[in-house]
Amino acid sequence: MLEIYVTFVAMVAISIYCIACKSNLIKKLLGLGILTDAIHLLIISTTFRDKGIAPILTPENVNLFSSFSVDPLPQALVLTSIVINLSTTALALALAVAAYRRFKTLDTEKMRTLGG
Amino acid sequence: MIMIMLFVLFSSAFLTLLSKKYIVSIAGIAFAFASMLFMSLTPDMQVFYFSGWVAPLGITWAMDRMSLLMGVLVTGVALACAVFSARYVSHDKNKYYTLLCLLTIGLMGISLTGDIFNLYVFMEITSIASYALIAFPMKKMSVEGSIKYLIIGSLSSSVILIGIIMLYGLTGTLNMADLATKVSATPEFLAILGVIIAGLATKAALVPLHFWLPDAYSIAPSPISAMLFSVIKGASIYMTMRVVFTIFGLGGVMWVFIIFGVITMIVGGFMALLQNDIKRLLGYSSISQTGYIFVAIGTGTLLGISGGIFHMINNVLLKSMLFLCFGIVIWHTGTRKMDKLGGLGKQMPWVAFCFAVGALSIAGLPPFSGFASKWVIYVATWEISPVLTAISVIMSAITLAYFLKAFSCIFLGQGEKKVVKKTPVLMLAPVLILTAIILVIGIFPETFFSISQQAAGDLLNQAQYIKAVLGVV
Amino acid sequence: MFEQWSLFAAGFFGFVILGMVIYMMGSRPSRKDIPHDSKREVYIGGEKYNSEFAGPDNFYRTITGSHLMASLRRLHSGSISDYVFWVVVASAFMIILVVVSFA
Repeated sequence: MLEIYVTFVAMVAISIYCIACKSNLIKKLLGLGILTDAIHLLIISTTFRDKGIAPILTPENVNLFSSFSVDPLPQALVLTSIVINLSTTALALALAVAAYRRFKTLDTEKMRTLGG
Repeated sequence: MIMIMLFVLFSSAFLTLLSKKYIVSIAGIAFAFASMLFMSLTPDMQVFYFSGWVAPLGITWAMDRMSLLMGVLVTGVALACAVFSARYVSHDKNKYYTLLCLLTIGLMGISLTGDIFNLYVFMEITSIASYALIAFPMKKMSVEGSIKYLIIGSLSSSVILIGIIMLYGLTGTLNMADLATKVSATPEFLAILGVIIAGLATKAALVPLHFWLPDAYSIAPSPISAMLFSVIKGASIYMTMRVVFTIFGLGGVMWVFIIFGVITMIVGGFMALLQNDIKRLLGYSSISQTGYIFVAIGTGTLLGISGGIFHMINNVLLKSMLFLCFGIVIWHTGTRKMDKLGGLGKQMPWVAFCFAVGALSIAGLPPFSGFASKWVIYVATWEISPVLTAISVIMSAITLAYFLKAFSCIFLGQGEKKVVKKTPVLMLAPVLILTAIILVIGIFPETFFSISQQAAGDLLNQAQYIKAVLGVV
Repeated sequence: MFEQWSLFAAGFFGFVILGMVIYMMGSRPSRKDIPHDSKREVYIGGEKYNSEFAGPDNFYRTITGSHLMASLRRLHSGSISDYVFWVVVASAFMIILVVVSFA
C-alpha cells in the first residue's frame, strides 16, 4: 500500500511542476492529465484488498463474496471522473488550437494581453 | 417535482440545439424559476431518492431552506441573463443558449444535491459550461482568459476530488447526511477538510488564490459575467458552507476564514482603486465582497452566518444588476475603458439611475439593501474583535471611493461617445426588475434577513438534516 | 435588529463618510479645462499612464502612486505560472492553518 501512496504523491508533484514551471501550453495540459491519472490511482487504491476478486456475484463465489471482493463503488467513481476529464481535455485542446491561431505561439509567457 | 423540473431543463438544452429556436431555452429556465418559487411554499425539507434507492445506498437530493434559497437565486439570475442575451448576443445564439442551459443545470445540481460526489460532478458541469461561455466571442482576450480559468479551475477541482476520495477512504460513504454521522474533528478529518477548503477557496477566489478571476471573468460577454460573478461565486460559497457546517458540523470562530477574508477584503478593495477598465474594477469589487462574506461566516455564530448569507443574496442581485447595466453601456459604446467613456448620464438616464443604486448599495449606504447586510456583519464581528469591525468599515469607505470614481467617470462630465441606438426593452427590463428588487430589500430588510436567518438555521441544524435524509436520528 | 435609532445613527454616519470621500476625491476636471496639447501624465507603479481621472494631487494619486500598490499591481501580471505557484503555496498554508486552528 505504501508504494501506491508514494507513487501518488510523486505523480502529483510532477504534474504540479509541469503546470507551474513549463511555459508551453501543451505541456501544462499534459500536467493536468497526469494529475487526473494520479487521482484515479488514488481512487482505485482505496479498494485494495489482498487476494481480492472482481465484484461480480456468481453462484460459485456467493460465500466468499463479502470477504474477498473489492469495492465496486470507486470503480464507478473513476469511470465518471474519466468522462469528465475527457470532456475538459477536449475543450482545453480546442482552446489551445484557437489560441495558437490567434497568438501564433503556444508560449504562455507571451499570451499576456490581460494583467494588472 | 424536482424530477420534472430537471427533465424540462435538460430537454430544453438539447431542444435548443436541435430546433434552432432559442426561445425554448428561455421557456425552460423560466419554468425552472417558477417551479423553485412554487416549491418554496412548502416549509419542510424535501428529499428525493434517485431510482428509489434509499440513502445511504443511492444518490439523494435534499432540499432544505438554504438549498431552496440558492435554487431561487440561481434560476432567477439565469432568467434575467437569458432575457438580456436575447438582444446582446448577435451570432451563434443556439449554441450560446444551450451552454447557458447547461450552466443553469449545473448550478441547480450544486444547490440541491445531498451526495458529495454528485456535487463534484455538477461542479464540473458548471465549470465546463463556463469555460466554453467565456471563450464564446473567440477573440484573443477571450481565449486567453478561458485557458487561464481552465487550468486553475481544473487544478482546484482535482484538489477537491482528492479531498472527497480521502473522505470516502476513511468513512466508506458518499452521502452528505451519512458522512455527517461518521465524521469527527480528529486530525485526519481536519486535514481532509483543509484540502477541500483549499480547493473551494480557489473556486470562490479568496486572496492568494484569486489571481485568475479578474482575467477570466471580466472578459466574458456581459450577461455571462453577470452570471459568473454572482451565481457561480455564490455556488462556491454555498459549497464551502455545506461542507463545513453540514458535513463537519463545526461551529465557533473559524480563524481560517477570518484571516483569509480580511486579506481578501483589503487586497480586493485596493486593487479596484487602481483599475482603468470597468469590468476589472467590478471584478475586484466582487473579490472584496466575497471577503466580507467569509469574515461573516468565520464568526460562526447564527447572526454572523445569516449576515453572510444575506450579504451573499445582496451580492448576487447587485453584481448581476451592475454587470447587465454595464452590458447596456458596452452595447451602445463598444468600449470598456473608463478613460474613453464619459457623459453618458444624460443620454441613458435609466441605466445611470440603476448603476447609482447598485453602487451606493454595495458601498453600504443606509436606505439601500447593502447597508442592511453590512450592518449585520458589523454587529457580528464586533463580538469577536472591534478591530475587524473597524477594518470592515474602512473598506466600505474605500468601496464607496472606487464606485464614485467609476460612476463619475462613466456617467458625469463630458465625453465623446454618443448613444444613437435606442436601448431594447429586453435588455432594459431585467436591469429594472433587479433594481426594483434591490430597492424593496433596502426598504424592508427584516423580511429578507429573516429568510437568511432561517437558511442559516437550517445549515447549522445538522440533526434535522440527517433525520430527514436518513430517516433515523 | 433594525431598530429606528440604530438606523438613524448609521445613516448619519454613512452620509458623513460619503461627504468625506467626495471631498477627498477632489473634483474631476472637465475636458474643456485641459489645454489641447498637454498630456495628463500620471505615474502608476513606475509606469506612465495617460489618464484624466487620476486627478491633480488628490486621494487617488496618493494611493495609486505608492510603491505598495505598484508591487501589488505587478503581482497580477498575467502569467499563469505565477498564479499556479501562488495557488500551491496558499493551499499548503491553508491546510496547515485548518489543522492547527481546529485541533
